[in-house]
Amino acid sequence: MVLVLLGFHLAGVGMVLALGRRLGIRPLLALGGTAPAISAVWAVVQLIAGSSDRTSMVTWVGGLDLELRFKVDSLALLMTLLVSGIGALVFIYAIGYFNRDTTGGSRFSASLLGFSASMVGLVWADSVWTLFIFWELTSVTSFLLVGHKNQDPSVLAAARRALMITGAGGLILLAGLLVLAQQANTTIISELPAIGGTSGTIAAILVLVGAATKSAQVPFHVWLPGAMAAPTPVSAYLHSATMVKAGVLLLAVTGPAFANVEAFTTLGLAFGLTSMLWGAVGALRQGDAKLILAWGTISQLGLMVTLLALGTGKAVFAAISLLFAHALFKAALFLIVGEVDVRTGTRQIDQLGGLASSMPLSFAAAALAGLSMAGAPPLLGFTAKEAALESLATLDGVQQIVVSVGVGAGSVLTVAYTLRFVFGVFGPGPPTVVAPRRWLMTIPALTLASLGFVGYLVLGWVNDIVRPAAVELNAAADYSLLRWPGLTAPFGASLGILAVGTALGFGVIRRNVGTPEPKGARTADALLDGVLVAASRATGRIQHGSLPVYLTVMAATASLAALPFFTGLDTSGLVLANQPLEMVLAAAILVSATAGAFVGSRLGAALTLGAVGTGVSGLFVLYGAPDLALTQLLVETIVVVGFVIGLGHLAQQFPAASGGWRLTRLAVSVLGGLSVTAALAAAAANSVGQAPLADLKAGAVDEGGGNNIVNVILTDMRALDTLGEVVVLATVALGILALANVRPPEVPG
Amino acid sequence: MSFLIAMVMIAPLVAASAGILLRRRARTRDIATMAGLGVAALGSFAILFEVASNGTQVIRVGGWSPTVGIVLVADLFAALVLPIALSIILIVEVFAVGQRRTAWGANPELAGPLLGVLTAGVALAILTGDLFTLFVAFELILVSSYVLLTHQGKRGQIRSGMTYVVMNLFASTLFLFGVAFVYAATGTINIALLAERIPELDAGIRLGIGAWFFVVFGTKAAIFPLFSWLPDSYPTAPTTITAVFAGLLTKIGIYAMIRFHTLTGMDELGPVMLVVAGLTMVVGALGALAQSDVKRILSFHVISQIGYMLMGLGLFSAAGTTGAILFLLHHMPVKTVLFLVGGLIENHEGTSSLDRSGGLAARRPLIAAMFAIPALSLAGLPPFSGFVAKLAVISAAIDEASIGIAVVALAAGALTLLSMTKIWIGVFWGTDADQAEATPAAPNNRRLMTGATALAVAGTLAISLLAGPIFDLSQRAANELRSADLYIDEVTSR
Repeated sequence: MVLVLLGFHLAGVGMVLALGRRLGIRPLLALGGTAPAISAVWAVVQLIAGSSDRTSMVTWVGGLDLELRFKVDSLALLMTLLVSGIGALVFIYAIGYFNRDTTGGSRFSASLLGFSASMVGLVWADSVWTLFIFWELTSVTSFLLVGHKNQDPSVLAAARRALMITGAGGLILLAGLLVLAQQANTTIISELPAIGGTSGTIAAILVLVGAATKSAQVPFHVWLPGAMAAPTPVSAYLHSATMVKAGVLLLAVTGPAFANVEAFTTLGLAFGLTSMLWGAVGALRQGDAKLILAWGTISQLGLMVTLLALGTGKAVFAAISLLFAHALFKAALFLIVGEVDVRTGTRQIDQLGGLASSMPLSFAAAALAGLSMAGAPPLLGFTAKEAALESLATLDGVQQIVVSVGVGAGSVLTVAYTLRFVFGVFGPGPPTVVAPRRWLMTIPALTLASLGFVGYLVLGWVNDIVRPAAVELNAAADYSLLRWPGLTAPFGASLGILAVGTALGFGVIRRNVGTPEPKGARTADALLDGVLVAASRATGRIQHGSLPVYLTVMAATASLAALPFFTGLDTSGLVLANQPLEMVLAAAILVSATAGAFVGSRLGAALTLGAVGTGVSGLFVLYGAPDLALTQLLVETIVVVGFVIGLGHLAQQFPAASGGWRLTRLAVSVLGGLSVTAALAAAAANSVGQAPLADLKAGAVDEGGGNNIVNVILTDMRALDTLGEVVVLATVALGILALANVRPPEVPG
Repeated sequence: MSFLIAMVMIAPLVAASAGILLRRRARTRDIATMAGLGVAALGSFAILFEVASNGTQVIRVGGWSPTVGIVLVADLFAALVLPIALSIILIVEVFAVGQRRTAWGANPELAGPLLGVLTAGVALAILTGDLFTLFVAFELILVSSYVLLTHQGKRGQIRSGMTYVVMNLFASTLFLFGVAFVYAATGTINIALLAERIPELDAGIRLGIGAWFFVVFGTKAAIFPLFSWLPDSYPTAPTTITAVFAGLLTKIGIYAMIRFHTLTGMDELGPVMLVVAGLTMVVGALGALAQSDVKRILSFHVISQIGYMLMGLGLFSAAGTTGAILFLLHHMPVKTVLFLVGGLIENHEGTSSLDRSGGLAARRPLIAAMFAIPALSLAGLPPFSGFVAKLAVISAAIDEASIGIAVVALAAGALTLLSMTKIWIGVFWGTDADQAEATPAAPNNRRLMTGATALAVAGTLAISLLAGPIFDLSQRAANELRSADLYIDEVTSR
């Protein structure tokens, strides 16, 4: 079934792309929303029917355990409900958000649906590789969606930042999953055993960092505020309700495997608590309502990461409850900001006023969702926050103090930025001009916001959804959300948080109304640009374009490669020369070669090279190969003649070289010569097989029918080589003709 | 079977000759070239089918024994690489036919025949079981590619062609020296006999031979620090030519290296290879980041990606060699497609410079999609073949506890992603700086170019989809190479 549902999504993407030129953006969005709607309905039916786990699997690369393995359990159904349900509502909302004549509808709709498909694939994944595949797909689709309005350079920078941080995080996660799978000896998530040791610690750290990039944990959070450059439906869907939860989900499902790894808890708490506090402080510093929410998301994700890092039954239960409640209220708030933006043309809280009366439905929705975010009764957010505080009671020692103080302070700040958001947007002020209502935008926001209240009313049903999901992760997570906790310590703490938070919140509503310099984002961009600059510098050094330097490097490398031959060198068997005449020839060759290296004119160099070749042909004569010698002489003659003709078009002298550079080249040449000599001597001295002279002779005379063995070799035994070389020569001739055909290029100037 | 093997080499040569004879009749000439290359490509698939089901096929050319004559060996490794290589050339020729009718410099009639010669060289290099014939095959490839690079006679081409041909000829010289060393030490140049005799050599001589050929094949494969010829020369050629070069030439170098070093058991060179692999990846990826031209970025990626294949080889484990082969099979088509898309961009924008183009995704969504898929694949993102290939080599490294190279490989992946993002943002997003579309080609020629590119993209997707069976075949090929005995028996028996 899950494959069929994924198929629906893909078919939807295909149809949206295919019909992209014929339909406007609104029908395309309606078409795009169909698959998430079907998926959401399916999830509801499954939840009501209470059907048991189902798995499906398609093997992709068996040899690497790469498979698409899906498991729909209670947790997956809960996540499907959020991903597809909110997805369907966001598609509806987007129909209202975009004007009828907006271009790029098929791109947008297809990317959004593609993201939706990747996200359901991710929440169903039961293999680390399946999870990774969809994880990366969400990064890519998110990149496309953030960069939707790509005429704007700041949007491009934001999209690049988001992709690079989540992309690099993906690679870190890949490393973590590789180590995890190797240690656990399985890739199936639901069968991961608890691992430990150094490898366990390494895997835990890598997975945590990967999750932190995706879930925007400090210091990797810098991409999230920038991603608000995306159209609001995208921010509501990807950057509050779903994609940023992927990291949280990853920590939830891998948590059991890291239960014995201390670093998982320590580092997780560090990420979570820092993000919770820094995100909330960030929210208080923003004047743009959308950015307040974005920073608030960082903070809320921090709380979830904190709870999952603790890993106790109660904490896991609280984390899942918060994930559920947060998706509802945060998506609603984003949708409201989008509507405010579209209808008033601004999101700056100091420019908004009188919206409580001019946008009453949105105000009601914002009030409901805001109360849920602040953790006030009678809303779902309250019960989840209670569960979170409750879970802190079971801790002990320093950990309890640190975590409690952190969560307490974070919660106070959360209340404060919630007030700042609601009163900033809807509070009193000079009335803002408001465009007519768009029902398709209002209804989804109102639906999500009121679900927080409805959930509180039917808390038993919510428990039936949340509890089994938490129990999937941790058998000890068998708790319930309480409508009324009674006069417990956590409840007291809750009241205190609300009181202090309210006081603080009213103090900062109209403070900090500008948009502060996004320092973190600047730093990230500077880092990326720094990589580019460093790359340019390094490349300029290495790829400088000088052929002589390239050749020297090559010769030096080859000489180094020949060093092992020296170990096989046995000088005792070597003789200086077989015949005295060789010495004369060798001396002549050496002198000409050395002269060639030092002579300053090009013509001189050509002539000395010719002398070297002539000397070599002399050696051929001494060793009884007059035909070879003849060939060599011919070649040398032609080459020298060619040089002389060609040199007429070049400068007479070689360009001057510095002394150090000449010395380097000299050293490399000497080393090269010695290396080749040593290699040949050593290879011949240690041979394990002799040249098949008898075979060659017999073959040539008896089978080839020729007495000149060399001729038979060339024309019969190795005829294929000869054919090849003939073609080589023909091709060279073609090349020369081609260049001769080209009229000389005009001299630029 | 021997007919098929002969055909894949002869058909392109016949096509080349026909192309020259028919040089004045553009249409006939193009059809003849495409037919010849098509026949070779089809034949190569038949060879793969035959070898996969019936095992290694050996031809003794002229009936001579391996001690004195030449053998052609279609083992599974060769049979896997061959069809991909020949299909690439065919597709590029179709694209080039479209492009030649519009934007080509001097001597358009030579491109087809030269591709034919190149094809014959590539097929020979893949199939030969003889070290000297491999040298001849390299010469065929070098000379045809050099003439392809320079035959339009543009200033920049001739200038960079100089670097290209001089460095490669130097490598050929080193190759000849290597053949001499090997012949002196073992008395044979038949690769199967070498696989038998080289392990019997003294460690110093054996390592010397291994290291020497590492340099020789490494220059052809453009590894660090021997790659300098590549980034200077590739971007100057017509894009279609570069597409073939990028997809094939360096790959033939790494192919020869995988074959030679695995069959002769050069395991001790592993650590050196891994260090060089890491440097190659990083230097290539940094080089790509430093560029602001699509073709130059893509050229540096060629180098960086070679590092991954070298890494798989350098692990000298079954999983590592499998990864190297899989990476090779994935990389050849993906790289070619990227250059073809680069050609389309140039055709539409009149430039491949990032600064002077922009906003192409809105105007040409199909081109954007055809770039995005291979680009993500090259950067190693799922669900494309590049992810499978990268996972294969990296997990092989982790199996061997070679953590350092695994980390470098992942980091280089991030750099590659950044440079792909650079192209995407520069070309496909933003606004077009000068708004000027290039002189529009005749629509049906563009259709030929777009169609060829789309076909190639489909090919890369097919490789992604069939990654499972291809992995299994790569594993079989790797095992055959690593155990060597099978190869030796097949070649020397009878």
